Amino acid sequence: MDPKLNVTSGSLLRLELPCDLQAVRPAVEACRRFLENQNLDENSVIACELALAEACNNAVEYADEAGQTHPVQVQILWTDDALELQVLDHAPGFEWPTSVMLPGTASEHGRGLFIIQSLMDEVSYLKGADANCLLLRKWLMTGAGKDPGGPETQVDWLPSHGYAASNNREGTPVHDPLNSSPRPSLEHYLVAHELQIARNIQQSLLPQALPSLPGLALSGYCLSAREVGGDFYDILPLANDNVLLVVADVMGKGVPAALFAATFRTLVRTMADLATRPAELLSRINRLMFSELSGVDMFITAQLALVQTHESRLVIASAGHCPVLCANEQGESCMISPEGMPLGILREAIYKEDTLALHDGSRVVFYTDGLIETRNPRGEFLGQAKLMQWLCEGVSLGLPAPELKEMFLAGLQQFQGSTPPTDDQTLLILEQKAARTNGAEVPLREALQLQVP
Amino acid sequence: MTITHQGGTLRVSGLEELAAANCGLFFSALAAELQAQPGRIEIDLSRTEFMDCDGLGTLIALRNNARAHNHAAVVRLIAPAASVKRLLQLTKLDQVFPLDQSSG
Repeated sequence: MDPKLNVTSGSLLRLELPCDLQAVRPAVEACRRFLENQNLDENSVIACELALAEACNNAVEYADEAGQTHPVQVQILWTDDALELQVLDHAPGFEWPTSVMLPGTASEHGRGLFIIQSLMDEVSYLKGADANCLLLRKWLMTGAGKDPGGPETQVDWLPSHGYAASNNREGTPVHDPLNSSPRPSLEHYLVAHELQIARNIQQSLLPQALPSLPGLALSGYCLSAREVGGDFYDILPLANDNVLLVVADVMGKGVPAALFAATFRTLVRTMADLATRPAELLSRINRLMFSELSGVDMFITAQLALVQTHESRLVIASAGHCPVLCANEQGESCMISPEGMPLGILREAIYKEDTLALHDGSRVVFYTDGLIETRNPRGEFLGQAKLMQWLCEGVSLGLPAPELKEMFLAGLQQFQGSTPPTDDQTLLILEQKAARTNGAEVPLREALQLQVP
Repeated sequence: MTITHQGGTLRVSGLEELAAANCGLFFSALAAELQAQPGRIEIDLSRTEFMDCDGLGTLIALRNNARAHNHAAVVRLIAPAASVKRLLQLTKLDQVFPLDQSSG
Protein backbone atom coordinates (compact mmCIF):
# COMPACT_ATOMS: atom_id res chain seq x y z
CA MET A 1 0.00 0.00 0.00
CA ASP A 2 2.99 2.27 0.36
CA PRO A 3 3.27 4.94 -2.32
CA LYS A 4 5.86 4.30 -4.95
CA LEU A 5 8.46 7.05 -4.97
CA ASN A 6 9.77 7.66 -8.43
CA VAL A 7 12.08 10.60 -8.16
CA THR A 8 13.04 12.62 -5.14
CA SER A 9 15.42 15.48 -5.33
CA GLY A 10 15.92 18.81 -3.61
CA SER A 11 13.06 20.47 -5.39
CA LEU A 12 10.85 17.79 -6.79
CA LEU A 13 8.83 14.88 -5.49
CA ARG A 14 6.90 12.50 -7.62
CA LEU A 15 4.95 9.54 -6.35
CA GLU A 16 2.27 7.15 -7.42
CA LEU A 17 -0.37 5.58 -5.27
CA PRO A 18 -2.78 2.78 -6.07
CA CYS A 19 -6.38 3.85 -6.53
CA ASP A 20 -7.32 2.95 -2.95
CA LEU A 21 -8.32 5.19 -0.03
CA GLN A 22 -5.94 3.29 2.29
CA ALA A 23 -3.04 4.45 0.14
CA VAL A 24 -3.88 8.14 0.37
CA ARG A 25 -2.67 8.77 3.90
CA PRO A 26 0.84 7.23 3.48
CA ALA A 27 1.24 9.12 0.20
CA VAL A 28 0.22 12.42 1.72
CA GLU A 29 2.52 11.78 4.69
CA ALA A 30 5.40 11.27 2.27
CA CYS A 31 4.52 14.62 0.73
CA ARG A 32 4.45 16.26 4.14
CA ARG A 33 7.89 14.90 5.02
CA PHE A 34 9.24 16.19 1.72
CA LEU A 35 7.83 19.67 2.39
CA GLU A 36 9.14 19.65 5.97
CA ASN A 37 12.60 18.71 4.70
CA GLN A 38 12.45 21.76 2.46
CA ASN A 39 11.88 23.89 5.56
CA LEU A 40 8.48 25.05 4.41
CA ASP A 41 6.68 26.91 7.17
CA GLU A 42 4.29 24.82 9.26
CA ASN A 43 1.08 26.53 8.14
CA SER A 44 1.90 25.97 4.50
CA VAL A 45 2.83 22.33 5.20
CA ILE A 46 -0.56 21.80 6.85
CA ALA A 47 -2.34 23.54 3.97
CA CYS A 48 -0.56 21.48 1.31
CA GLU A 49 -1.05 18.23 3.22
CA LEU A 50 -4.77 18.82 3.52
CA ALA A 51 -5.26 20.01 -0.05
CA LEU A 52 -3.37 16.98 -1.38
CA ALA A 53 -5.38 14.63 0.82
CA GLU A 54 -8.65 16.09 -0.48
CA ALA A 55 -7.43 15.93 -4.08
CA CYS A 56 -6.27 12.30 -3.74
CA ASN A 57 -9.47 11.27 -1.91
CA ASN A 58 -11.50 12.71 -4.78
CA ALA A 59 -9.29 11.00 -7.35
CA VAL A 60 -9.87 7.64 -5.66
CA GLU A 61 -13.52 8.07 -4.66
CA TYR A 62 -14.69 9.16 -8.09
CA ALA A 63 -12.68 6.69 -10.18
CA ASP A 64 -14.83 4.29 -12.19
CA GLU A 65 -13.95 0.64 -12.73
CA ALA A 66 -11.50 1.35 -15.55
CA GLY A 67 -9.98 4.29 -13.68
CA GLN A 68 -9.35 2.13 -10.59
CA THR A 69 -6.78 0.10 -12.49
CA HIS A 70 -4.55 3.17 -12.88
CA PRO A 71 -2.46 4.71 -10.13
CA VAL A 72 -2.99 8.29 -9.00
CA GLN A 73 0.10 10.40 -9.62
CA VAL A 74 1.18 13.18 -7.30
CA GLN A 75 3.91 15.62 -8.04
CA ILE A 76 5.28 18.47 -5.98
CA LEU A 77 7.50 20.92 -7.72
CA TRP A 78 9.36 23.70 -6.00
CA THR A 79 9.76 26.57 -8.43
CA ASP A 80 11.32 29.92 -7.61
CA ASP A 81 8.27 31.53 -6.17
CA ALA A 82 5.67 28.85 -5.83
CA LEU A 83 4.96 25.31 -4.83
CA GLU A 84 3.15 23.45 -7.55
CA LEU A 85 1.14 20.45 -6.46
CA GLN A 86 -0.19 18.29 -9.21
CA VAL A 87 -2.58 15.36 -8.92
CA LEU A 88 -3.23 13.30 -12.02
CA ASP A 89 -6.13 10.86 -11.90
CA HIS A 90 -8.16 8.65 -14.20
CA ALA A 91 -11.62 9.36 -12.83
CA PRO A 92 -14.31 10.47 -15.30
CA GLY A 93 -13.66 14.05 -14.22
CA PHE A 94 -16.04 16.89 -13.57
CA GLU A 95 -16.48 20.58 -14.29
CA TRP A 96 -14.82 22.67 -11.61
CA PRO A 97 -17.57 24.97 -10.30
CA THR A 98 -17.13 28.67 -11.01
CA SER A 99 -17.72 29.47 -7.37
CA VAL A 100 -17.14 26.95 -4.63
CA MET A 101 -19.46 27.37 -1.65
CA LEU A 102 -19.55 25.74 1.77
CA PRO A 103 -22.57 23.49 2.29
CA GLY A 104 -24.80 23.94 5.34
CA THR A 105 -23.30 22.95 8.69
CA ALA A 106 -25.50 19.83 8.88
CA SER A 107 -24.30 18.51 5.52
CA GLU A 108 -22.06 15.46 5.69
CA HIS A 109 -20.44 16.03 2.30
CA GLY A 110 -19.28 18.65 -0.15
CA ARG A 111 -16.44 20.53 1.53
CA GLY A 112 -13.45 19.08 -0.35
CA LEU A 113 -13.26 21.58 -3.21
CA PHE A 114 -13.90 24.46 -0.84
CA ILE A 115 -11.01 23.32 1.34
CA ILE A 116 -8.68 22.99 -1.65
CA GLN A 117 -9.65 26.37 -3.03
CA SER A 118 -9.33 28.09 0.35
CA LEU A 119 -5.92 26.69 1.15
CA MET A 120 -4.30 27.24 -2.23
CA ASP A 121 -3.50 30.45 -4.08
CA GLU A 122 -4.30 29.11 -7.49
CA VAL A 123 -6.31 26.10 -8.58
CA SER A 124 -6.64 24.83 -12.11
CA TYR A 125 -8.36 21.65 -13.15
CA LEU A 126 -7.83 20.13 -16.55
CA LYS A 127 -10.39 17.53 -17.51
CA GLY A 128 -8.94 15.22 -20.11
CA ALA A 129 -10.37 12.40 -22.21
CA ASP A 130 -9.17 9.65 -19.90
CA ALA A 131 -7.27 11.51 -17.23
CA ASN A 132 -7.54 14.75 -15.32
CA CYS A 133 -4.93 17.01 -13.86
CA LEU A 134 -5.48 19.17 -10.81
CA LEU A 135 -2.78 21.80 -10.52
CA LEU A 136 -2.52 23.69 -7.24
CA ARG A 137 -0.18 26.55 -6.58
CA LYS A 138 0.91 28.05 -3.31
CA TRP A 139 2.99 31.18 -3.60
CA LEU A 140 6.14 31.32 -1.55
CA MET A 141 5.95 34.89 -0.36
CA THR A 142 8.97 34.97 1.90
CA GLY A 143 11.65 33.16 -0.04
CA ALA A 144 12.06 31.09 3.12
CA GLY A 145 12.28 27.34 2.94
CA LYS A 146 13.87 25.65 -0.04
CA ASP A 147 16.99 23.73 0.61
CA PRO A 148 19.89 25.99 -0.38
CA GLY A 149 21.79 22.95 -1.64
CA GLY A 150 19.00 21.82 -3.93
CA PRO A 151 19.67 21.55 -7.65
CA GLU A 152 17.26 24.34 -8.60
CA THR A 153 19.09 26.84 -6.41
CA GLN A 154 22.44 26.29 -8.06
CA VAL A 155 21.60 28.97 -10.54
CA ASP A 156 20.79 31.40 -7.75
CA TRP A 157 24.31 31.96 -6.56
CA LEU A 158 25.50 33.44 -9.78
CA PRO A 159 27.47 36.65 -9.83
CA SER A 160 24.39 38.35 -11.29
CA HIS A 161 22.78 38.79 -7.90
CA GLY A 162 19.90 40.53 -9.52
CA TYR A 163 18.03 37.32 -9.28
CA ALA A 164 18.14 36.79 -5.53
CA ALA A 165 17.11 40.41 -5.17
CA SER A 166 14.37 40.06 -7.72
CA ASN A 167 12.66 37.48 -5.58
CA ASN A 168 12.31 39.96 -2.79
CA ARG A 169 8.91 41.35 -2.08
CA GLU A 170 8.52 44.44 -0.04
CA GLY A 171 8.74 43.80 3.66
CA THR A 172 9.62 40.14 3.39
CA PRO A 173 12.88 38.59 4.44
CA VAL A 174 15.17 37.44 1.68
CA HIS A 175 16.60 33.99 1.73
CA ASP A 176 20.12 34.63 0.54
CA PRO A 177 21.67 31.53 -0.93
CA LEU A 178 25.01 33.34 -1.12
CA ASN A 179 25.24 33.61 2.64
CA SER A 180 23.88 30.21 3.50
CA SER A 181 25.83 28.29 0.92
CA PRO A 182 29.12 29.90 -0.05
CA ARG A 183 30.78 28.37 -3.10
CA PRO A 184 34.13 28.99 -4.76
CA SER A 185 33.86 32.03 -6.98
CA LEU A 186 35.49 30.25 -9.94
CA GLU A 187 32.52 27.91 -10.02
CA HIS A 188 30.17 30.91 -10.10
CA TYR A 189 31.84 32.26 -13.16
CA LEU A 190 31.96 28.92 -14.95
CA VAL A 191 28.26 28.40 -14.36
CA ALA A 192 27.56 31.97 -15.44
CA HIS A 193 29.59 31.46 -18.59
CA GLU A 194 27.72 28.27 -19.40
CA LEU A 195 24.41 30.03 -18.83
CA GLN A 196 25.41 32.85 -21.11
CA ILE A 197 26.01 30.31 -23.87
CA ALA A 198 22.62 28.73 -23.20
CA ARG A 199 21.05 32.17 -23.23
CA ASN A 200 22.54 32.83 -26.64
CA ILE A 201 21.06 29.57 -27.88
CA GLN A 202 17.68 30.51 -26.49
CA GLN A 203 17.75 33.97 -28.06
CA SER A 204 18.60 32.32 -31.37
CA LEU A 205 15.34 30.34 -31.12
CA LEU A 206 13.28 33.51 -31.47
CA PRO A 207 12.43 34.69 -34.98
CA GLN A 208 15.04 37.20 -36.11
CA ALA A 209 12.59 38.91 -38.45
CA LEU A 210 8.85 38.74 -38.71
CA PRO A 211 7.52 37.57 -42.08
CA SER A 212 5.49 39.97 -44.13
CA LEU A 213 2.09 38.54 -44.93
CA PRO A 214 -0.67 39.93 -47.12
CA GLY A 215 -3.28 41.70 -44.99
CA LEU A 216 -1.69 40.60 -41.73
CA ALA A 217 0.73 42.12 -39.26
CA LEU A 218 2.63 40.44 -36.44
CA SER A 219 4.49 41.74 -33.44
CA GLY A 220 6.24 39.71 -30.77
CA TYR A 221 8.09 40.11 -27.49
CA CYS A 222 9.86 37.62 -25.25
CA LEU A 223 11.69 38.49 -22.05
CA SER A 224 13.58 35.97 -19.92
CA ALA A 225 13.36 36.56 -16.20
CA ARG A 226 16.64 34.78 -15.63
CA GLU A 227 19.70 34.05 -17.69
CA VAL A 228 17.80 31.40 -19.57
CA GLY A 229 14.08 30.79 -19.68
CA GLY A 230 11.65 28.28 -21.07
CA ASP A 231 9.41 30.69 -23.02
CA PHE A 232 9.64 31.18 -26.74
CA TYR A 233 7.56 31.91 -29.77
CA ASP A 234 8.05 30.97 -33.37
CA ILE A 235 6.52 31.87 -36.71
CA LEU A 236 6.64 29.36 -39.56
CA PRO A 237 5.70 30.55 -43.02
CA LEU A 238 3.84 27.79 -44.90
CA ALA A 239 2.58 27.32 -48.43
CA ASN A 240 -0.32 29.44 -49.67
CA ASP A 241 0.58 32.45 -47.49
CA ASN A 242 -0.41 30.41 -44.45
CA VAL A 243 1.62 30.68 -41.32
CA LEU A 244 1.93 28.70 -38.10
CA LEU A 245 2.28 30.66 -34.87
CA VAL A 246 3.85 28.85 -31.94
CA VAL A 247 3.92 30.03 -28.33
CA ALA A 248 5.34 27.74 -25.66
CA ASP A 249 6.30 27.77 -22.02
CA VAL A 250 8.48 25.00 -20.65
CA MET A 251 7.79 24.48 -16.98
CA GLY A 252 10.76 25.70 -14.99
CA LYS A 253 13.59 27.94 -16.03
CA GLY A 254 17.30 27.67 -16.61
CA VAL A 255 19.24 25.46 -18.95
CA PRO A 256 16.94 22.39 -18.89
CA ALA A 257 13.91 24.53 -19.77
CA ALA A 258 15.78 26.19 -22.64
CA LEU A 259 16.92 22.85 -23.97
CA PHE A 260 13.38 21.48 -23.99
CA ALA A 261 12.22 24.67 -25.68
CA ALA A 262 14.83 24.09 -28.38
CA THR A 263 13.76 20.46 -28.83
CA PHE A 264 10.11 21.44 -29.06
CA ARG A 265 10.85 24.15 -31.60
CA THR A 266 12.90 21.74 -33.73
CA LEU A 267 10.14 19.12 -33.66
CA VAL A 268 7.52 21.66 -34.76
CA ARG A 269 9.76 22.77 -37.60
CA THR A 270 10.65 19.28 -38.77
CA MET A 271 7.00 18.23 -38.77
CA ALA A 272 5.80 21.39 -40.48
CA ASP A 273 3.96 19.24 -43.04
CA LEU A 274 1.48 18.63 -40.23
CA ALA A 275 1.13 22.33 -39.51
CA THR A 276 -2.25 22.46 -41.20
CA ARG A 277 -3.51 20.12 -38.46
CA PRO A 278 -2.28 21.77 -35.27
CA ALA A 279 -4.03 19.33 -32.90
CA GLU A 280 -2.49 16.33 -34.66
CA LEU A 281 0.90 18.05 -34.57
CA LEU A 282 0.62 18.60 -30.82
CA SER A 283 -0.39 15.02 -30.23
CA ARG A 284 2.58 13.71 -32.28
CA ILE A 285 5.03 15.98 -30.47
CA ASN A 286 3.55 14.96 -27.14
CA ARG A 287 4.13 11.29 -27.94
CA LEU A 288 7.68 12.03 -29.06
CA MET A 289 8.61 14.13 -26.05
CA PHE A 290 6.58 12.30 -23.43
CA SER A 291 9.31 9.98 -22.15
CA GLU A 292 11.94 12.68 -22.05
CA LEU A 293 9.68 15.16 -20.30
CA SER A 294 8.06 12.82 -17.82
CA GLY A 295 11.44 11.22 -17.10
CA VAL A 296 12.63 14.49 -15.59
CA ASP A 297 9.20 15.59 -14.38
CA MET A 298 8.84 18.54 -16.67
CA PHE A 299 6.06 19.60 -18.98
CA ILE A 300 5.40 22.16 -21.66
CA THR A 301 2.33 24.26 -22.28
CA ALA A 302 2.05 25.33 -25.88
CA GLN A 303 -0.24 26.83 -28.41
CA LEU A 304 -0.23 26.30 -32.15
CA ALA A 305 -2.27 28.64 -34.32
CA LEU A 306 -2.53 28.05 -38.02
CA VAL A 307 -3.27 31.33 -39.77
CA GLN A 308 -5.23 30.54 -42.93
CA THR A 309 -4.60 33.84 -44.58
CA HIS A 310 -6.88 33.41 -47.57
CA GLU A 311 -9.75 32.08 -45.48
CA SER A 312 -9.22 34.81 -42.86
CA ARG A 313 -9.30 32.39 -40.00
CA LEU A 314 -7.23 30.81 -37.29
CA VAL A 315 -7.19 27.14 -36.34
CA ILE A 316 -5.92 26.87 -32.80
CA ALA A 317 -4.81 23.90 -30.70
CA SER A 318 -3.57 24.18 -27.16
CA ALA A 319 -1.58 22.00 -24.80
CA GLY A 320 -2.78 23.37 -21.48
CA HIS A 321 -1.77 26.88 -22.47
CA CYS A 322 -3.38 30.22 -21.51
CA PRO A 323 -6.43 31.18 -23.61
CA VAL A 324 -5.99 33.19 -26.80
CA LEU A 325 -7.56 36.65 -26.56
CA CYS A 326 -9.25 38.23 -29.55
CA ALA A 327 -11.02 41.55 -30.13
CA ASN A 328 -12.27 43.35 -33.21
CA GLU A 329 -13.15 46.91 -34.11
CA GLN A 330 -16.86 46.18 -33.70
CA GLY A 331 -16.18 45.96 -29.98
CA GLU A 332 -16.54 42.18 -29.83
CA SER A 333 -14.05 40.13 -27.88
CA CYS A 334 -13.55 36.47 -27.05
CA MET A 335 -11.21 34.01 -25.38
CA ILE A 336 -10.34 30.72 -27.01
CA SER A 337 -8.99 27.79 -25.11
CA PRO A 338 -9.16 24.48 -26.98
CA GLU A 339 -8.98 21.40 -24.76
CA GLY A 340 -5.65 19.66 -24.30
CA MET A 341 -3.22 18.60 -21.59
CA PRO A 342 0.26 20.09 -21.31
CA LEU A 343 2.87 18.08 -23.21
CA GLY A 344 4.60 15.46 -21.10
CA ILE A 345 1.66 14.67 -18.82
CA LEU A 346 -0.06 11.85 -20.68
CA ARG A 347 1.38 9.84 -23.53
CA GLU A 348 -1.93 9.51 -25.36
CA ALA A 349 -3.29 12.97 -24.65
CA ILE A 350 -6.00 14.20 -27.02
CA TYR A 351 -5.91 17.71 -28.47
CA LYS A 352 -8.84 19.60 -29.90
CA GLU A 353 -8.97 22.45 -32.39
CA ASP A 354 -11.01 25.63 -32.31
CA THR A 355 -11.51 27.91 -35.30
CA LEU A 356 -11.64 31.68 -35.10
CA ALA A 357 -12.82 33.84 -37.98
CA LEU A 358 -10.61 36.88 -38.45
CA HIS A 359 -12.62 39.99 -39.24
CA ASP A 360 -11.12 43.16 -40.58
CA GLY A 361 -9.35 44.89 -37.75
CA SER A 362 -9.24 41.81 -35.49
CA ARG A 363 -6.29 41.62 -33.13
CA VAL A 364 -5.37 38.32 -31.53
CA VAL A 365 -3.06 38.05 -28.53
CA PHE A 366 -1.00 34.99 -27.62
CA TYR A 367 1.01 35.05 -24.40
CA THR A 368 2.46 32.94 -21.60
CA ASP A 369 1.33 32.83 -17.99
CA GLY A 370 4.42 34.80 -16.95
CA LEU A 371 2.77 37.81 -18.52
CA ILE A 372 -0.56 37.63 -16.68
CA GLU A 373 1.23 36.60 -13.50
CA THR A 374 3.33 39.75 -13.52
CA ARG A 375 3.07 41.26 -10.07
CA ASN A 376 2.83 44.86 -9.03
CA PRO A 377 4.73 46.14 -5.96
CA ARG A 378 1.73 45.17 -3.79
CA GLY A 379 2.14 41.57 -4.95
CA GLU A 380 -1.07 41.53 -7.02
CA PHE A 381 -1.22 39.75 -10.36
CA LEU A 382 -1.87 41.53 -13.62
CA GLY A 383 -4.44 38.90 -14.62
CA GLN A 384 -6.08 37.94 -17.85
CA ALA A 385 -8.95 40.41 -17.47
CA LYS A 386 -6.52 43.33 -17.49
CA LEU A 387 -4.83 42.02 -20.61
CA MET A 388 -8.22 41.71 -22.29
CA GLN A 389 -9.09 45.26 -21.22
CA TRP A 390 -5.86 46.59 -22.75
CA LEU A 391 -6.55 44.67 -25.93
CA CYS A 392 -10.06 46.09 -26.27
CA GLU A 393 -8.78 49.61 -25.58
CA GLY A 394 -6.00 49.20 -28.11
CA VAL A 395 -8.36 47.86 -30.74
CA SER A 396 -10.89 50.65 -30.17
CA LEU A 397 -8.03 53.10 -30.75
CA GLY A 398 -7.24 51.25 -33.98
CA LEU A 399 -3.63 50.57 -32.91
CA PRO A 400 -1.67 48.44 -35.39
CA ALA A 401 0.11 45.35 -34.00
CA PRO A 402 3.49 47.01 -33.23
CA GLU A 403 1.85 49.99 -31.46
CA LEU A 404 -0.46 47.63 -29.59
CA LYS A 405 2.58 45.71 -28.41
CA GLU A 406 4.20 48.96 -27.24
CA MET A 407 1.01 49.86 -25.41
CA PHE A 408 1.01 46.46 -23.64
CA LEU A 409 4.66 46.81 -22.69
CA ALA A 410 4.11 50.33 -21.37
CA GLY A 411 1.12 49.09 -19.37
CA LEU A 412 3.17 46.19 -18.07
CA GLN A 413 6.04 48.48 -17.10
CA GLN A 414 3.68 50.80 -15.26
CA PHE A 415 1.94 47.90 -13.51
CA GLN A 416 5.06 46.16 -12.26
CA GLY A 417 6.82 49.38 -11.28
CA SER A 418 10.23 48.56 -9.87
CA THR A 419 9.35 44.89 -9.24
CA PRO A 420 11.43 42.87 -11.69
CA PRO A 421 9.52 40.03 -13.37
CA THR A 422 10.11 36.61 -11.80
CA ASP A 423 8.89 34.62 -14.78
CA ASP A 424 9.49 34.85 -18.51
CA GLN A 425 7.05 37.10 -20.33
CA THR A 426 6.01 36.39 -23.90
CA LEU A 427 3.57 38.23 -26.09
CA LEU A 428 2.65 37.72 -29.73
CA ILE A 429 0.09 39.87 -31.50
CA LEU A 430 -1.59 39.13 -34.81
CA GLU A 431 -3.53 41.80 -36.63
CA GLN A 432 -5.90 41.32 -39.54
CA LYS A 433 -5.57 44.72 -41.16
CA ALA A 434 -8.79 46.64 -41.56
CA ALA A 435 -10.13 48.03 -44.80
CA ARG A 436 -9.31 51.74 -45.06
CA THR A 437 -11.71 54.08 -46.81
CA ASN A 438 -8.86 55.90 -48.53
CA GLY A 439 -8.10 52.74 -50.44
CA ALA A 440 -4.45 52.76 -49.43
CA GLU A 441 -4.90 49.25 -48.21
CA VAL A 442 -7.31 46.81 -49.77
CA PRO A 443 -8.65 44.20 -47.37
CA LEU A 444 -7.27 40.79 -47.97
CA ARG A 445 -10.43 39.06 -49.09
CA GLU A 446 -11.33 41.76 -51.61
CA ALA A 447 -7.79 41.84 -52.94
CA LEU A 448 -8.02 38.14 -53.62
CA GLN A 449 -11.37 38.46 -55.29
CA LEU A 450 -9.95 41.14 -57.55
CA GLN A 451 -7.16 38.85 -58.60
CA VAL A 452 -9.45 35.97 -59.42
CA PRO A 453 -11.80 36.86 -62.29
CA MET B 1 -9.47 3.87 19.54
CA THR B 2 -11.14 3.50 22.91
CA ILE B 3 -14.84 4.01 23.56
CA THR B 4 -16.08 4.44 27.13
CA HIS B 5 -19.46 5.21 28.71
CA GLN B 6 -19.74 7.25 31.86
CA GLY B 7 -23.18 8.29 32.96
CA GLY B 8 -24.79 9.85 29.92
CA THR B 9 -21.44 10.61 28.33
CA LEU B 10 -19.90 8.63 25.51
CA ARG B 11 -16.20 9.25 25.24
CA VAL B 12 -13.90 8.34 22.36
CA SER B 13 -10.14 8.63 22.60
CA GLY B 14 -6.90 7.36 21.08
CA LEU B 15 -7.93 8.29 17.58
CA GLU B 16 -4.81 8.76 15.45
CA GLU B 17 -6.57 10.06 12.39
CA LEU B 18 -10.07 10.65 11.15
CA ALA B 19 -9.89 10.54 7.39
CA ALA B 20 -11.36 8.92 4.30
CA ALA B 21 -9.62 5.61 4.96
CA ASN B 22 -10.93 5.00 8.50
CA CYS B 23 -14.00 7.17 8.97
CA GLY B 24 -16.36 4.38 7.90
CA LEU B 25 -15.09 2.13 10.68
CA PHE B 26 -15.17 4.99 13.15
CA PHE B 27 -18.78 5.74 12.33
CA SER B 28 -20.01 2.16 12.49
CA ALA B 29 -18.25 1.62 15.83
CA LEU B 30 -19.99 4.67 17.29
CA ALA B 31 -23.36 4.23 15.63
CA ALA B 32 -23.92 1.08 17.70
CA GLU B 33 -23.25 3.07 20.88
CA LEU B 34 -25.84 5.71 20.01
CA GLN B 35 -28.63 3.26 20.88
CA ALA B 36 -27.91 4.16 24.52
CA GLN B 37 -29.00 7.74 23.66
CA PRO B 38 -26.00 9.55 25.20
CA GLY B 39 -26.61 13.23 25.94
CA ARG B 40 -22.97 14.13 25.58
CA ILE B 41 -20.39 12.73 23.19
CA GLU B 42 -16.78 13.70 23.69
CA ILE B 43 -14.28 13.03 20.94
CA ASP B 44 -10.78 13.34 22.33
CA LEU B 45 -8.69 14.62 19.43
CA SER B 46 -5.49 15.17 21.39
CA ARG B 47 -3.80 12.29 19.55
CA THR B 48 -5.46 12.92 16.20
CA GLU B 49 -2.77 14.08 13.83
CA PHE B 50 -4.86 14.33 10.73
CA MET B 51 -8.43 14.96 9.70
CA ASP B 52 -9.82 15.54 6.23
CA CYS B 53 -13.14 16.51 4.76
CA ASP B 54 -14.48 12.94 5.02
CA GLY B 55 -13.48 12.96 8.69
CA LEU B 56 -15.39 16.20 9.18
CA GLY B 57 -18.39 14.75 7.38
CA THR B 58 -18.29 11.78 9.74
CA LEU B 59 -18.37 14.05 12.78
CA ILE B 60 -21.41 15.78 11.29
CA ALA B 61 -23.02 12.41 10.58
CA LEU B 62 -22.32 11.38 14.17
CA ARG B 63 -23.93 14.57 15.46
CA ASN B 64 -26.95 14.20 13.18
CA ASN B 65 -27.37 10.59 14.30
CA ALA B 66 -26.90 11.32 17.99
CA ARG B 67 -29.58 13.99 17.75
CA ALA B 68 -31.95 11.60 16.07
CA HIS B 69 -31.63 9.37 19.13
CA ASN B 70 -31.52 12.14 21.69
CA HIS B 71 -32.73 15.58 20.80
CA ALA B 72 -30.43 17.33 23.24
CA ALA B 73 -27.26 15.43 22.37
CA VAL B 74 -24.08 17.51 22.22
CA VAL B 75 -20.86 16.48 20.45
CA ARG B 76 -17.74 18.07 21.90
CA LEU B 77 -14.27 17.94 20.40
CA ILE B 78 -11.53 17.81 22.99
CA ALA B 79 -8.02 19.27 22.50
CA PRO B 80 -7.75 19.27 18.70
CA ALA B 81 -4.30 19.84 17.23
CA ALA B 82 -3.65 23.13 15.44
CA SER B 83 -4.16 21.59 11.99
CA VAL B 84 -7.51 20.07 12.94
CA LYS B 85 -8.63 23.31 14.58
CA ARG B 86 -7.73 25.20 11.46
CA LEU B 87 -9.79 22.84 9.35
CA LEU B 88 -12.79 23.31 11.65
CA GLN B 89 -12.44 27.08 11.50
CA LEU B 90 -11.99 27.09 7.75
CA THR B 91 -15.19 25.14 7.23
CA LYS B 92 -16.98 27.15 9.95
CA LEU B 93 -17.72 23.94 11.84
CA ASP B 94 -16.13 25.40 14.97
CA GLN B 95 -19.55 27.06 15.31
CA VAL B 96 -21.19 23.64 15.43
CA PHE B 97 -18.70 21.77 17.58
CA PRO B 98 -17.78 23.48 20.83
CA LEU B 99 -14.01 23.14 21.14
CA ASP B 100 -12.57 22.18 24.47
CA GLN B 101 -8.85 22.74 24.77
CA SER B 102 -8.37 20.76 28.00
CA SER B 103 -7.67 17.11 27.39
CA GLY B 104 -9.31 16.13 30.73
